[in-house]
Amino acid sequence: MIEAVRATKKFGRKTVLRNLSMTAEKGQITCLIGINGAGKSTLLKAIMGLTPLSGGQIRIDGAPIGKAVYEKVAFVPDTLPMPPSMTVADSLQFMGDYYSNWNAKRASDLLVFFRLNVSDRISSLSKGNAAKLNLLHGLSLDTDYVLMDEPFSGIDLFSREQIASVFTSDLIEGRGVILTTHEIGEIEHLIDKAVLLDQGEVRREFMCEEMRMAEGKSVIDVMREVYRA
Amino acid sequence: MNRYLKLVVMELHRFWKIYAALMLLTFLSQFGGLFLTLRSYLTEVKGRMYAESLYDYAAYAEKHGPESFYTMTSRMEPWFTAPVLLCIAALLFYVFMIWYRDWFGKNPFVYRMLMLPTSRMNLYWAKLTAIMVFVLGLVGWQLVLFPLHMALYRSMLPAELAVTQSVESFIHHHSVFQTLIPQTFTEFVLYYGAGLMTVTVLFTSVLIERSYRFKGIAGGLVYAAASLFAMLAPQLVNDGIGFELYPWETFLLLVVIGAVLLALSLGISRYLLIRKITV
Repeated sequence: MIEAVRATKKFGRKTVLRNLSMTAEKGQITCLIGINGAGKSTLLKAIMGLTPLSGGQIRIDGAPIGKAVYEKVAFVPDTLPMPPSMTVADSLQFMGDYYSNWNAKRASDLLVFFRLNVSDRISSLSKGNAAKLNLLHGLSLDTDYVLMDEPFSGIDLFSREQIASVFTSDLIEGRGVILTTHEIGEIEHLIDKAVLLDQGEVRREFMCEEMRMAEGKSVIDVMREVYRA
Repeated sequence: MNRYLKLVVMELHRFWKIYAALMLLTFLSQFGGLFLTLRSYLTEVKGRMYAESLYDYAAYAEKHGPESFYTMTSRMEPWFTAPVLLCIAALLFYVFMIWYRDWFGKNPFVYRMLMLPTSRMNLYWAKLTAIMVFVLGLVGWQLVLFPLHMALYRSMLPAELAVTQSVESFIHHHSVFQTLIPQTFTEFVLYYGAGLMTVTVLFTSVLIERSYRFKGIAGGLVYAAASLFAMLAPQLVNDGIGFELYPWETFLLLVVIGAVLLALSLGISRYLLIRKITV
């Protein structure tokens, strides 16, 4: 389980996360929802130790963040973090060189699935293909958790469909997933848990299926309640 | 190969094109400059021989004396030292860029670098090692070039006009190269130790800036300035207060201050990389 316990993050005078507590379980897809500036990306970065918290803590399976986290949790940021001069093949080689849990077989399956060309340079990839390669890097690591920051942002319909199909495949089965997205409509049926953030605070945290069964409300219905209140 | 060595290889690979260009530029400037200078010198010699009715080079050498390799390079000083100074400037600039290039651009590589399942200090050691390899590589390249330049000097000049000079003697007489290429092991340790310490201070300044951003700019500058002040302190004590230190006391003080700054820079950098760095 990934836990944020009273996580607080300040950038100067601005508080981006305020005593934020939430959990994400293994085997579930947890979606962080909120408008720009709600603290979604900052929370993911804090989980990965890419930005230090001003207060509170992050625990992964009960342990604080350390270098072992990077063999346990894969992070797919909203940009492809590879040098533009690298080719797709170079980037796969890089991942295989540094990560002992790199699954080369899965990487080559995903290359075919996403129709990526190994000789293409990172700098020449379209936004959709860069997002697919980014996802490939994250999913080809044998980790317990995968974090994805806006995996659908700014990419075309067909690429979005391809990426969305990953969520119903065995690629993430059994893993814990935390993703942030603006495009909730397209993936609402895929997510298990929604965490609604506003100004760095958790406004609502609920299991989607339970909400549908108990109150007959979709995620978007709850969002309307929370954000328009 | 362990991850540290892989990171070193990657850092070397990322700079190799610019590095090769610097090496090529040094060769072309020094070799080409020497060639043109020697040719111009020979034209001058022939002109003076004609004007002074000297019939062979031996007679010319007897009257005007031969020209040593050192004198010849003095005639073309900018050709010889400018590329070296350019290399120094480029490497100094790269001390900063080796960090900042990971943050810049639409695909910030720093995300991946900081998420590698290895100690973040390995990133630091790899970058530090790469800078030292670049420095020593360029010095080594210069040592390879000297015999080539000397061979050109001997092949273009008639034997009567040439003076046999060793590489060591040339370096010893040259103001820039005598610092870059120390003559003794102690000098090597001191000069390159000071260089290493300077790089760690600059790395620390960059990491302070990357950790605290706007406040970090001031913090990084203050750290670099305070380090410089600490290194100048023994001299300031001598000059300013009038409290005369013996040369060996000044030297010892400098070594101790340098070692403290090196340790402090490494400690602060480690803390920042593990606890404070922000993407």
